[in-house]
Amino acid sequence: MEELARISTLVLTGLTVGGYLLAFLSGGEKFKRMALPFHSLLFVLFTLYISVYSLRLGRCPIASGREVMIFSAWILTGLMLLNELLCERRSVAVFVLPFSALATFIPILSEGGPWLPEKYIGTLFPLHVGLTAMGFVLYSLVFLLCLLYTKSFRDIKNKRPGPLFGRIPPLKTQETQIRLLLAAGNLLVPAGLAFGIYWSLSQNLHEIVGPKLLVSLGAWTSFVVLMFRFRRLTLARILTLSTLGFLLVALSFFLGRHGA
Amino acid sequence: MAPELKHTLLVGLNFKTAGVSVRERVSFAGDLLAATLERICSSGPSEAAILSTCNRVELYAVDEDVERGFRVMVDGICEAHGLERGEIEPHLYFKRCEEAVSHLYSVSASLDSMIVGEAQILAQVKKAYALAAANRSTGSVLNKLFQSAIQIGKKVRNETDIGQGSLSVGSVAVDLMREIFPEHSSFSLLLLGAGEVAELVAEQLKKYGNADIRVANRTLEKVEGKFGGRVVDFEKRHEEAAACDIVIVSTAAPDYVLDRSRLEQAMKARQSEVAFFVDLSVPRNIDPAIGEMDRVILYSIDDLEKVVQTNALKRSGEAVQARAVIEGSLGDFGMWYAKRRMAPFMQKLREHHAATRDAVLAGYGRQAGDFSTGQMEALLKITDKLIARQVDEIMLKLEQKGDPSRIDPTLNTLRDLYGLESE
Repeated sequence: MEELARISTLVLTGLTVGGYLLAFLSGGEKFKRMALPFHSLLFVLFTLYISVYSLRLGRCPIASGREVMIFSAWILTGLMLLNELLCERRSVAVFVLPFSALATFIPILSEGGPWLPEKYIGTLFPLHVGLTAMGFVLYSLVFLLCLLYTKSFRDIKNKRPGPLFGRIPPLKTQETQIRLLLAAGNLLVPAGLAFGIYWSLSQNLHEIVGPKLLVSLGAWTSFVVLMFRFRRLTLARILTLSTLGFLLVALSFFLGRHGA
Repeated sequence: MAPELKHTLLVGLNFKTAGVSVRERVSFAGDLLAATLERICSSGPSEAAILSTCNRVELYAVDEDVERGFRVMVDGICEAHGLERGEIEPHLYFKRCEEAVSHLYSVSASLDSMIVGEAQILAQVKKAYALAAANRSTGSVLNKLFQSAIQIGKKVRNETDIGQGSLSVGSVAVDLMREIFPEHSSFSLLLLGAGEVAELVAEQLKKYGNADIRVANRTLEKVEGKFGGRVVDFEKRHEEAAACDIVIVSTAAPDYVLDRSRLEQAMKARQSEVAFFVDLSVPRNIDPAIGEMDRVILYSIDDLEKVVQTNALKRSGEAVQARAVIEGSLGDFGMWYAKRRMAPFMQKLREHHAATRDAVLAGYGRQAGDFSTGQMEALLKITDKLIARQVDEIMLKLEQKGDPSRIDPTLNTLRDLYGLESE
């Protein structure tokens, strides 16, 4: 059943991404309307899969890198569905859902052993990993949207309409999306880190302040600065700051996988 | 006697052959259109339709007598509008058969429009057809002609990008706005100056969303009451520009009315991120250095016109493709018409062969004794199939000639050989 659910998820992701890709290339609404039902079904199926898996394990499925990737893919799928439902006819899902597909597909090929022994999986640890993972997913989206934003802004400003012209949401909508994601991410990440610190203390783990925590805080700081200074920053600085933050997020994940 | 070949005829004038003062005198609407259609159909032509828009008035009819058809249509226009022939004849064009069909296809595909690729003409063709059909002035030929013209119009729009890209400065400005602001969103707009183009652009932008409009000019009287916007102090234009999302400038000033240093100072207090400046003045009234500011998008009238030219060029390229679509479809209408002409003769030919078969069978039966019922049934069945196959073969050979003008002489020869009349 699990295998069937996984394969169905991949197939639906493929159909959804295909629909959004056609919508992007055609610049129209027709294909987006086609993709949305697949996207909705994908999210429902994904949620059922995660729920059943969690019930079977008796815990939140975030104990291994593989589980976190699938969990992150689920968050991405849900976020993009919400964004596409609220957004007007154009979409950015075509840039995001392939990552969701990768995040679902890679764990199938990887070993995906648990990071930590089962006895450490209680309530605090899932909260720590879950909230931090969600926050980092939002940060990754912010990075991607900042890329699109600066590219499309420069294209219009320099009077050289590129391939994004007429195909992605207007600049003001992108700004709103970035701001909302930043606000949510900047709340989730410190909350997740706080739970992590509390969990470490409760486990009598004395090395709380390690490279991973510092890197995570660095990522959070970048995005907090981005959020509060977004109006005043130049396009180049927006891109630099979001890239820095994203690299720190990636580093944090890498350190987490290797037990730092 | 062979049935007369019915010709599709077109009489009309458009923006290329007649100015607006002539066109407005010959336009048709309502009861006048219905009365004219009735008059035309009762004077010779068997079918008629009228396409009347702000840029053209065209009458389509079907008649065996070309001269009579043209005369009746011109008379129809003159009588409906109380005009003398001499007043409108210099502006009219006359087309028949394939030329008339090709013209309607081009019109429907917006290739003959003032703005190639415009979307309204297809709806206007549909409306003209609907009105003619409602007045029962169409028959099989005009039904087929207009239905195929409408299909071709849709096909051209679906298969080419002929309708893509705006062709006016105002529309281009709205297209750019669409990339910056969501539709139906709220935005603030400052209009500096009272230039006509600026007003046109502002009018288009105003329809885009919920606009908070501010107007300013050195001479207040010129801008008071425009667009329902509030008048602001021209001397505080930098502060107002900094506070607005969109700024349109079109004054007669010989130098810059907005300069970078003052605007930068005013923008420090700005609450919004992106600002869109449009300079429609010649010479320019917005300091080009403002366009280098990070969150400012600045387009001059040159920039907008370059976009218009690029779009016009693209549409010209698409028009070539559209023309190819039309050329491919012209043959279909011709073949339909040729088959329609062949059908009565083919039916007569079948009946002729069947009568010959019956006579032969009857004569044979008297000599050799009556056939049994079963034998007769079998013979009739076999010979029916033979006749059908022979007639179909003749029809296929005629169709393969392709051009209806080559089919007709052969058809007439066959009629003479067999001594058959279709009617």
